[in-house]
Amino acid sequence: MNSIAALLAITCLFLLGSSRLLVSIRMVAFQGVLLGIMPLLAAGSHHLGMGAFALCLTNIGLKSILLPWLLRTALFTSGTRREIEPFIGFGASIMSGVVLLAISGYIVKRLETTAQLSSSITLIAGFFMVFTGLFLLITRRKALTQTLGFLVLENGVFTTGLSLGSEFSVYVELGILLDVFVGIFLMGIMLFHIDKEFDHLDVDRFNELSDLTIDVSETEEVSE
Amino acid sequence: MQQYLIAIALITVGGILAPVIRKHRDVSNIVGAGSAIIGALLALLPVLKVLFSGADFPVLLLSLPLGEASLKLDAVSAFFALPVLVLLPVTALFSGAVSRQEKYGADGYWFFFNTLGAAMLLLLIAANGVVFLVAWEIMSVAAFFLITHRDEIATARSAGWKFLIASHIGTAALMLLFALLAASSGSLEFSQFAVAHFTTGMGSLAFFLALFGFGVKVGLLPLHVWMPDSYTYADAPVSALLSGAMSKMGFYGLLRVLMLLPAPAASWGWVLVIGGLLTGIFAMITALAQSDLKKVISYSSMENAGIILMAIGCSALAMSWKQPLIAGIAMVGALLHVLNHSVCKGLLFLGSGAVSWGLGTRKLELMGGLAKKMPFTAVCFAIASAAISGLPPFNNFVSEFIIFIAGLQTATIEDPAALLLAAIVLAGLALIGGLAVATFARTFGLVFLGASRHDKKQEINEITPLVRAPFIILMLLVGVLTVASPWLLKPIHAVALLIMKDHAGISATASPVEFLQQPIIMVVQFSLALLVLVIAGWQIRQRFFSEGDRSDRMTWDCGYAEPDARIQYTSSSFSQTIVDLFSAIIRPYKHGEKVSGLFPQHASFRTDAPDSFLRYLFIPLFGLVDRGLRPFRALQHGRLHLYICYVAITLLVLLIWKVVVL
Repeated sequence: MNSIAALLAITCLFLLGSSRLLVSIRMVAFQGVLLGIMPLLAAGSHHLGMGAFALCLTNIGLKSILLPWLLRTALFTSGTRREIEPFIGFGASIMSGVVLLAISGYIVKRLETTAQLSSSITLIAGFFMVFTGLFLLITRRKALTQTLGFLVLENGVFTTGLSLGSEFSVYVELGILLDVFVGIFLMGIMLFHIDKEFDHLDVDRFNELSDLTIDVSETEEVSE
Repeated sequence: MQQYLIAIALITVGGILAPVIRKHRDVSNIVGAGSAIIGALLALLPVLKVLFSGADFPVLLLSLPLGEASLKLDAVSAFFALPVLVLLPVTALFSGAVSRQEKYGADGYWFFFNTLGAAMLLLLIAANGVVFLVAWEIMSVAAFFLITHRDEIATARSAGWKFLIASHIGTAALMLLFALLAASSGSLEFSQFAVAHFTTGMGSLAFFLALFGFGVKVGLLPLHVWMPDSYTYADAPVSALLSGAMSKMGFYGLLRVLMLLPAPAASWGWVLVIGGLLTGIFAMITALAQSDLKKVISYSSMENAGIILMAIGCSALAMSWKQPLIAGIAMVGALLHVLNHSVCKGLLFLGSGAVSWGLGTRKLELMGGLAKKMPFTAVCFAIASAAISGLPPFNNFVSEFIIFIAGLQTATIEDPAALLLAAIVLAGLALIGGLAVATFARTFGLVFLGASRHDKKQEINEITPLVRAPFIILMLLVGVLTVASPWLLKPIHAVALLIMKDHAGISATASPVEFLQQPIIMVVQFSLALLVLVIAGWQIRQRFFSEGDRSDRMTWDCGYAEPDARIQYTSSSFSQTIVDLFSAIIRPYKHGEKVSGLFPQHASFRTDAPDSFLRYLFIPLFGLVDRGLRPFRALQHGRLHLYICYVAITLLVLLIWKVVVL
């Protein structure tokens, strides 16, 4: 369990430092496999129910097969291969990742006094993944990396949920998985269309469509 | 009660079905209008049962996910359901009948129309703060979409926004009000509010919040700015429904809150009376300066709201002075006026719809002489105008008469404050009534009398027989409300009693019903005699003096050599003296050049009077707010990354704060 959590943290650091989108997608798929194994371990040997298996299978099916395939398709059709010029460089990203890891460790350490935890290392990994997801969402330019960031964020939520595990969590997790699947599916379709319309996938240039530039002035009474 | 709920469900389902099958336009219209009509008739039965036989329906307890809420149909709800149940089917019939030619039935019209009706019916039976607010919001939002239904017109959009902003500011006050009531009674149920003990300061705060929140819908003076625009730019049946039914929900809310609060303080009554007086006078003098037919009628809605508020205020004052008789009379007058106004206003708005539909414009300057081409509409409009100005022999006269009696009765109390109140009510009502007569004489004259100012080649058709049905129904109701008014007093007094039950120790012994019945029967008799005289005179003229009839000629044809439509009074010249008198308040724009010299070549003149409060209060105020908040626009720059960054930072700060503090 703890080693899987450590592996998850390492994949996150790797994601922060990699510029190749294909590698990043593979990394997220690997995270999916790790997440799939987790519920089996978390449930323990005494009640290894159907729920844990269902969670495992759907996790691996969705996060490491279906969604990566979707993203790869989007990647190949769009023709972008690399994340170029993120707002924060790759080296700096890894450094911030380490800082975030420290922060999540600190938070979990303080939380231990108030909450009952099954495994603190898993919780640290969970928090760290949430922060990494947000970090990727904030600092990357390509919409595809953002999708990956969203996926990592969700993985973090999943891990956190598992480490605080209760009886209900299986159903909750399955529900969240459905949400994520729909979300990523829509994003994949959107990416395809955005690419066609904009000729690029740079999120910071999407606001060309924004109507905020038009000043909304109060319309005076004008008769028809 | 079940029947009432089934009616609500039926109206809603019809509203959902109609847009679904919009491909088949006729079927969709029949479903939309039909469900509204049948639903309203269905709901009318339990409502009448409550009103006339005093039947008591059990309180219905709803188990919602977040607690329980009760629904209750009592006499007050039933009374205020009447305007809705009258105007909903009538306006549905009108929209359905003209939907072939017009856009009325298209798109989401029926959905929002029926939603508005259903929301009002739900609002009336809500006996829980949350249900009340939810119904209130649905009603406001549905009304917004109905106002902006003609969204291709910029002014309609702007009117809709004004309505939405005003109504949300009002709802904010209502939320505060219910939060306040809930905090001091520990529950959101109305029945709990009523038994909770409020301190005087708390009660006053609650009352003024209610006055603000409901005052927006009613059109209380500075909060009315959305009203003229919204009613003007909405379609005619929509304006009829909004003005006749939706604005009455404001009165309902106000009275409901008065029921829940402890006995009213004198200050509440004074605020209501003065507010009503100013509303009425301002509305009428502004109406006189308007050049848009529907705007005139919209301002008249506001005027009637002023009269009703005055009567409620008079009643509240009498309650605080422990004068049950006067309180009863004033409240009966207010309630009756609510009913009368909604019927007449429905008739007027539908009439204005028929006129602007036939003529293709709402500008008073382009109308005239329509009585010859649209005799039916002219008769309807004349009756409605006379009724709404409070002239005998019509229903509004009866209700204003009752309010006058209340005013006269207050003069009998030996107290300077009571004399002041009597003076305000009597003089105020007289002034408002006089201005209303001037306004409607001007409106009717400009639209229907004289020579036509519009393009001669334009063909103007009278409305088709099917479209006449709603007019006939409303006219019949005007007749019923007039003739049956002495006998309507009893159920209405029961409603008034329920409103004032806990205050001023009012009981049936001090009933104003017997007190009022006799004079009102007399009023009705005189009215009928007057009506008979008028009809007889008209018949005599038709029968015996019709040989010299030259009504096919142009008006003024005998007095002038070459009469022209331009020699007539125009919309601004007719009311010029009164408008000039009040120009300090109305502040009309005047554009044009003076006529000078012996043979003047050309001259033009134009006046315009947008709402003073909008111009001098709200536009500067909102401008100030806009300037004050402009720096914050920098936060909304449209960059996705930074938005997510906001979220992440908030999350981190909250987490760390929680962790560090605990």
